[in-house]
Amino acid sequence: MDMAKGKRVLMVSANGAETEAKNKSEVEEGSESMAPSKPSPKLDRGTQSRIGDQLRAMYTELMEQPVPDKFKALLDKLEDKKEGDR
Amino acid sequence: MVPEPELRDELLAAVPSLRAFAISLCGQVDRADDLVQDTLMRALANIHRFERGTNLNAWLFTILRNLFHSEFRKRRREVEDPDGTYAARLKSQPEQGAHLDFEDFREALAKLPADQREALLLVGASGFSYEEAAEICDCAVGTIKSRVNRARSRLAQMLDLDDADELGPDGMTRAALQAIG
Repeated sequence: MDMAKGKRVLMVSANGAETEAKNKSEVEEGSESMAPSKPSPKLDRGTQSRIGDQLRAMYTELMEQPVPDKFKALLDKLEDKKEGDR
Repeated sequence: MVPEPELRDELLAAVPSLRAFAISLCGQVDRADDLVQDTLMRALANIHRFERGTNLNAWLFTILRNLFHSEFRKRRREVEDPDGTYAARLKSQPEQGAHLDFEDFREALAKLPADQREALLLVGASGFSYEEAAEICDCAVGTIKSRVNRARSRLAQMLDLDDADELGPDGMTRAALQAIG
């Protein structure tokens, strides 16, 4: 069972690598400080979870920001307008 | 199309996560808010195409992501920028309005290629599955997985999170985990 799983992952990553290559020109944009073809080392779980924690912490902070009134106003206005049209 | 009150509420409820995604994606609050506004307008204009009962968030994220990329392509066509000064200036513009924490992390995130950044944000923060993220980005599931892995590796490098020389119990825990995994 494990072997079958491993095989599928391999296929998938080969597939992914192909698509990545196609998108290379698009990718150049933000990557000036990065070595282009450095293979990504497999991350240990501690590193993965630390990145995950930071990412979620940053995101949570963004999610907790108050929603600007203009978005509510936008949705309300459209609703009013439509009702007025009837 | 009239957005039913219920749908309107759902749209409004989606705004915080759309904003968080947009801000993390483009790194500027003002631009992110424009993106969210355009996304809502477009969603309302096309609401008849939305299948009730399917994932509204995924649909909205798809719209936002497409707007982000078409805007980026348009800007790049408009501004001849062979040496990247425009891009550099965009990136160095200070945040306006809301104060944002996690500066180091945000800086590192901004240095990732856009396709890796969006894949990581969708899967690692917005709560989408690899399959949903693949649909949103219109690519293969394997491509999303590979982008997320690259994004994590690069962040680890930039933020020195993968420092193997680190001493103390944390390093030992990691060594133990590595031995298991």
